[in-house]
Amino acid sequence: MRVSAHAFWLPKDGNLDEEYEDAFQPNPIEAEPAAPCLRYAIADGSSEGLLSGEWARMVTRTWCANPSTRQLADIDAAWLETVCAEWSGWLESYRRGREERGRPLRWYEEPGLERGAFSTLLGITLAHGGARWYAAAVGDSCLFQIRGDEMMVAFPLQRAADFTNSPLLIGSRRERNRGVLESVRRISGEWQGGDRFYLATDALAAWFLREAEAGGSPWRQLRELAAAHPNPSFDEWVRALRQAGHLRNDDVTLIELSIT
Amino acid sequence: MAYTAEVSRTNPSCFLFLIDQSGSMQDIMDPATKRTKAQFVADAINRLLQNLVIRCAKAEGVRDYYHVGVIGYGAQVGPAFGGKLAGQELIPIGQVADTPARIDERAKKVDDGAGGLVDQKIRFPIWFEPVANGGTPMCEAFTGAARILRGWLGQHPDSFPPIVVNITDGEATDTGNDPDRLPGLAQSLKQLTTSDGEVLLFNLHVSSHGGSPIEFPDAEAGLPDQYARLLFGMSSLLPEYLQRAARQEEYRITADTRGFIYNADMVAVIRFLDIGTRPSNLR
Repeated sequence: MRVSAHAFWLPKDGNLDEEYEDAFQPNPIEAEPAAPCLRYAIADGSSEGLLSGEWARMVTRTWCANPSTRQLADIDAAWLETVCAEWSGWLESYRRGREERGRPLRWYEEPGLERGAFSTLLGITLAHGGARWYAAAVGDSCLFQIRGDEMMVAFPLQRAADFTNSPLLIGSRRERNRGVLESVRRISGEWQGGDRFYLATDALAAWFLREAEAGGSPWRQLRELAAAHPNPSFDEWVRALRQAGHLRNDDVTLIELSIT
Repeated sequence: MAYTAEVSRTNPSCFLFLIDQSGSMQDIMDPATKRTKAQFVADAINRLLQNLVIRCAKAEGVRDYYHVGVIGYGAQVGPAFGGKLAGQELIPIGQVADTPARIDERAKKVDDGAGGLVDQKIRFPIWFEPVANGGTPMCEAFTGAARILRGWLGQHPDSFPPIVVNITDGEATDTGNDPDRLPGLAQSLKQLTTSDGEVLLFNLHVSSHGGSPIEFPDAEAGLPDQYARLLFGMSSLLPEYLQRAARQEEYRITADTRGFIYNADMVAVIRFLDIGTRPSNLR
């Protein structure tokens, strides 16, 4: 199995790069990684909440690194416990850092930090042996498997109408995660040489499904953009879609995995 | 006219609060607590501002998604913020966040995540103290609000429409005995528009008449008095986007539901705002 991997991202129009609150892993992505088992993840930090980008990055990084889930891609209790514990340690040092910088927490930050940060997670493991792949998801970041000119899999959402503004997400505080493990969606399948996988956060995934529902082949456009990588055509393409009202103005993240 | 414009720092929306500071606000609302209407109004506006700021908060700053004004009406009619903000009609929400008159600290019991409760210090910003003085020039306040909003709309013609929240006991003293004057001014206010929709007018009725609190009714029947009926009739029908948001919070909403609250909290209106993805974990 040879995998060619590309990642693309762009913050919401009007926001700075440092205000981007999605995440992808590995970051930076290696174009032609060599390993018997490869893991990729994307996450979308909830725009309502504080430090959502930091949380999304921690969620993807720990999920890709967690040994308990190395073989079967899963979002499980052990991983959730690890990442929430890591967040509380990180948050303590963040608070201390703010005090040391002479910028202690303001009154309006406290309720948000108290509620915690929230994020989606979509992860995929490509296993060399048996040509299998395994994916798991919480929230509305989506995976699409394309073979030839056909969409084999859309996961976890199948229709553009399925996107809502209030998905159940992974919270950084344990007590906010009631029901989250029960909501994890899992899927597995086989890959063949020539297959492509797209991992996309909600705005782009909704566009993708709308195009497909209208009889289009959105994967062709993404293929062309990935082939032109790393020129800035992705940014221009996203901005044009937003301008035309075809893409909701939101952070956008895309990973393309191409198997040969 | 669909209330779909994105609220952002480059395309902010607007909140204008009108608060009744007239002499009748010193009436006791609840004999048990001796709480006055003026105290209720001060709590209401402080909580609305606090919640609006928190909705716009990110780490180390508040995003200026809204321009905010507070007009007081009583002995005088005019901008009601004090201190550094005195005299200003509309200011970015970030400046409101940074300049409360004082910050109170209270202890609150919270879940410790392990089945117990711990004390947590909560900071409450206070911008407004109770005021009760003079008549109730609500008509003048509405006229002033229309003037302020016309200026803002000229600069933000495509923004999400402004929301006006009027907090009052409803007993206007400047109608000149014309029962249609106040509803007429309310109507003119609601006819101001951006390309995304009409200005929304919500009324929070503060009454010493008692009875159960009422939230977002869809008919006059059951309202306790003539003032409640007047304010209900002046309030905007909830547009579809607000109907959806309110239903998600399990309010019983129909096509006739209006933005009217009787002796209850109006903070729900802040929760209904669409400023991005809101995890369902938070409901």
